[in-house]
Amino acid sequence: MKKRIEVTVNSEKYELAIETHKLLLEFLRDDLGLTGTKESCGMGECGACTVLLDGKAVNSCLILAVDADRKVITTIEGLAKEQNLDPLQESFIKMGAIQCGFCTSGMIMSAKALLNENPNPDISEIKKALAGNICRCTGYKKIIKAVRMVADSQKTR
Amino acid sequence: MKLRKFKYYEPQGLEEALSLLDRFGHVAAILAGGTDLVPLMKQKTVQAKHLINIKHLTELDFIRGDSMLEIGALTTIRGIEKSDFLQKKCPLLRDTAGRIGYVQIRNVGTIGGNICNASPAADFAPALMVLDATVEIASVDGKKSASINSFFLNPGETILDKNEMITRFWIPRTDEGTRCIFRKVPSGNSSGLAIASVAVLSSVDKVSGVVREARIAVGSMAPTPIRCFKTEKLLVGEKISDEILNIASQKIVEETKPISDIRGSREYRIHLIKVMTKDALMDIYWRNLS
Ligand SMILES: Cc1cc2nc3c(=O)[nH]c(=O)nc-3n(C[C@H](O)[C@H](O)[C@H](O)COP(=O)(O)OP(=O)(O)OC[C@H]3O[C@@H](n4cnc5c(N)ncnc54)[C@H](O)[C@@H]3O)c2cc1C
Ligand code: FES
Ligand code: FES
Repeated sequence: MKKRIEVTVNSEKYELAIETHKLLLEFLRDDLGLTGTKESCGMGECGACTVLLDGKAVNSCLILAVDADRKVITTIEGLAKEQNLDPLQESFIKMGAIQCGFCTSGMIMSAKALLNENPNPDISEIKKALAGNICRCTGYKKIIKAVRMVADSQKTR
Repeated sequence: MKLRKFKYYEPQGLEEALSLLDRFGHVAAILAGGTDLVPLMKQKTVQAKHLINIKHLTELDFIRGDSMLEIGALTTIRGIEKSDFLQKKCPLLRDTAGRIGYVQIRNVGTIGGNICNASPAADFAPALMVLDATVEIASVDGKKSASINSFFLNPGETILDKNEMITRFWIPRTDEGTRCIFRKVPSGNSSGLAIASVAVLSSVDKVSGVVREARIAVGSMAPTPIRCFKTEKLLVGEKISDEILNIASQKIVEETKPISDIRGSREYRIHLIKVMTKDALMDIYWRNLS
């Protein structure tokens, strides 16, 4: 069974008929080829699939693609502006907040949602915002520092 | 992980949703935020032939009221957590919301879904129970109401009929001087569900130190969330002392039926609930008397 939806993904508008049992994650990866968004647990527990839905961090593995109708989606691919990476992406690289990288898109999207809402979060606010994102490599310290660094650099600007 | 196919409905208003439920309720699942339902459908624990997506019933997304607080079933957990209105009117619900899952879950999960899923670990349940909330239930036959304290029957099972849904919660205002606390020890696994949780609402006479009112409800301590009426009764009218708090925390163990599961052993749960209940009561009385 299909339903027509109209959705904006990373500033591009799509109008299409979509299977109603398709998950937002499958739509992004399989239909649009946006494979930066990862699937790990598929159960809402790890945050690897985090994207922004109307600016809010959500697990795309738990959301029906049809629920993106008339909504705005941002994925990791939508953060860089032309040749310039997002400050969060720069900061993750600089801090070495990445090892295997599987959690990174989700981490950055959760951090993005946080900074949009609160440009100057303290460590405990960062921890709370990233609590739904699991990293099996880094030990979190550098990730948290990377987010804090962006907040600091934007303060001095 | 994919979902199996289903017939899909997207009612645009409550009336349409209720008539769909009346026709297909016996084979359909209601989708609110989906944070409980979608994982269950992926695991095939729930096999729904029809899916009724109620996200478009925006009329069920509200927080309002004065002497009687009203919260719509489709209000998100995040909406409750961030509500300035509730910070003044009912901080217990706000605090509880902030302890549920993660931002991603709170952004989409709803209070109606939390209660209707009827998990023994549903965090809003103990809070709504001590607040003596009333559940508004709707079907094509009209609306009725039930106390949250008699809403849960078994894990995953409530008093709702197949053609019924929850539309709102009514929460009476608590008396001046009453304090509420929610305590939870989350599982270390990635779900963060409670190993044990407790909500306490109580007030004490500032001069005599005698307990005026006490309501206690616990999560993950029995097949459903439960109110601990016997423990409450034991406390009311007593003067606060270490001894009475010890007796109360012993009584609460007698009132519950904890089991051992992946999140924790029976013994650990008993230990937690004693400590958390005593601690919550002391916290309330300490702040009330100081
Ligand atoms: C990673 C993770 C962590 C979580 N952590 C917690 C936690 O810490 N504490 C906690 O309590 N829960 C937790 N949950 C469970 C879940 O997120 C919450 O219970 C949430 O409130 C469910 O709401 P929902 O809108 O997503 O429900 P849904 O999944 O949409 O629905 C749940 C059930 O209720 C039914 N339903 C929904 N709305 C209605 C209605 N209005 N009338 C009748 N039936 C209805 C559905 O048919 C379904 O059976 C967690 C879940 C995940 C995946
Ligand atoms: S893949 Fe979605 S939360 Fe793990
Ligand atoms: S870098 Fe490997 S999971 Fe986080």
